[in-house]
Amino acid sequence: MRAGSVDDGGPSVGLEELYATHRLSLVRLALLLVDDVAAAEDVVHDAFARMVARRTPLRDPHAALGYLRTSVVNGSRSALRRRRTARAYAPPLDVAPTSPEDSAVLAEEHRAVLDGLARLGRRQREVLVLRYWSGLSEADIAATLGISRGTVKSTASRALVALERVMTQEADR
Amino acid sequence: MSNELEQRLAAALEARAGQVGPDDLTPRGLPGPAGRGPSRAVWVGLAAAACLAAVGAGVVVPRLLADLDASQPPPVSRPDVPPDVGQDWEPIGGVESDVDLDGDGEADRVRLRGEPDPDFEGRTRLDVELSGGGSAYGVVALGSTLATYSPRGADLDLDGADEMVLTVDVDEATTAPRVLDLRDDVLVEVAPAAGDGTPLVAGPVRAGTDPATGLVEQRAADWWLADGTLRSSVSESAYPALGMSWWVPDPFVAQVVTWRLEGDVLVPRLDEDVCISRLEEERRPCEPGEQDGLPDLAPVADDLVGAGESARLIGGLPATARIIRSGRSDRVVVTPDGGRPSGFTIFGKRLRVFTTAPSALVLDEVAAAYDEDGDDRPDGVLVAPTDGPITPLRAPDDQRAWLAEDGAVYTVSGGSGRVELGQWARDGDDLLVVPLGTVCLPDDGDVTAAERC
Repeated sequence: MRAGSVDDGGPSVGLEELYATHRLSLVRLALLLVDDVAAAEDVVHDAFARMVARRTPLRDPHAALGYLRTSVVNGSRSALRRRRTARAYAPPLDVAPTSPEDSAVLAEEHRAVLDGLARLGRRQREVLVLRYWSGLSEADIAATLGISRGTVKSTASRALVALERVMTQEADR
Repeated sequence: MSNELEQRLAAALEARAGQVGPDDLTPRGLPGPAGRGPSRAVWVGLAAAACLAAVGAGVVVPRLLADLDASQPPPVSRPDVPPDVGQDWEPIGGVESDVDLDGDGEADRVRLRGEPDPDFEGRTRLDVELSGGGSAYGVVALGSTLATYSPRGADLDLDGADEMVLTVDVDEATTAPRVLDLRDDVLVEVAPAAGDGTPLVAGPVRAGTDPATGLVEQRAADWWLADGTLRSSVSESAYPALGMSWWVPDPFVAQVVTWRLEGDVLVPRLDEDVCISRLEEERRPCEPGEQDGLPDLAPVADDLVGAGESARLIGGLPATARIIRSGRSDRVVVTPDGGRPSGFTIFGKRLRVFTTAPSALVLDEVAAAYDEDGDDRPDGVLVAPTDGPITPLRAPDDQRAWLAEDGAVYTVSGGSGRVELGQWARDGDDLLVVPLGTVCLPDDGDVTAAERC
């Protein structure tokens, strides 16, 4: 997505304000994608760093947030790839296992859902997070992930089916 | 189904996200322009590129992260292939595809047909039944219509649908990926931009010639698909090659790029370096400061036989060596099992033979290393064919050499400290020293304790 590439000559988005307002929610978004707080913070930091480094400032706050969101999703993918590299390219799952502390705090019912989510494919997981946590429209998800709205719709539908299936399988064990 | 599941999902995501609050965030301000430099990988890549350029190698030219502001939508060409080309060509069997060109999450079915050609080098037509409905086709030159192809998928333009990747043989030692992008129901071939020197092959990449030894130097390149991405690597250093031999350390440090499809071209994006071990069959992140590995410097083979003695040679092809006193000289007689004995004399020299054969530098004939000056170090190698005279290979220089128990002969340029490590190799009827890099020896000169400096 290149939503923020147009310089319309208006006042640029205040980056400090953007950072103060959206850093936490973006870290949470990254956390849901990489399942590691430190990695999530790094991903968001890098996303803001890229925005700071832009030669053309963004004028539209919505576009700026969209840019950051896309950057966070892409950065999360990179973080997961690096994590896989660290495991000699042979990960059993895309998402790291949760820490004991996390498991202790999260209710079991939530943990079951999150474990199931972790077993989905990367794109399915991203679509579900953006839809059911970020609350984005299909159009915004499509723009964030760089895919068509139809693909968003079909991916979300298949992802829910797959999630229900893996959760059922786990429950039957 | 999903009302309850959707509610559970939303609640679980909210719960997990809620585990991070404002107080949990690391105190960090907005990154400043001056404080933000390229990532480590970029700097390493730039340094590596500079080194490569310095030796005249047309290799890695890393593109840094794309500037979202500066880049315009890249040009995308449209295919111009008549749909009826190749529909009557010969079917190619054994196709096992794993590709999702329409991005619906299901694999598509791929069939291939080969253009009739006496040398089986005609074009190939690809027909795809898209799992989401519809079809696609393409006509490409893959080099051979006899090979078995396994089309695989990778989402190189991040549009949610795969591009097709086929493995083709470039030559006997090298393969390359052929990437096809689906446009208007036609598969269009895409490749790196003309002039992009980043290797996208698996095999040796010639980097130049070592002016000191005349040996060809090659970088080790590879490519692979992982997690829907196409990546390639190339060793940061070039390694000497001679004939079929190529001295690649294990592990070696390699630069990695991830390939993205932008318009009509594949663009490399620098990724983290990896250390590649062929012995361990792994690619892994390098340790901080990790360098290319050293040969496994086996213990010194120091068992020799002299005049009046004989020995079975250890390692290598089976044979016996004995030394006969003959006046002021000694004569070495080597007898390959099942072959004829042949002898070798250096006038006025007392010869001794190592019981360990120099099997690492003579693979297909009987060979024995000899010492002519009594210092327990090899001064040459005798090659004894089953039916013919011995061919002596003399030491290429006077550097300190030793025979290791694995049959390799190594050399060092000094007794301790920072020295150049080398290894003998056979080049026809000569020996030469293959440079293996700089190492540091301990004060006691123990060559088996050499380390990278």
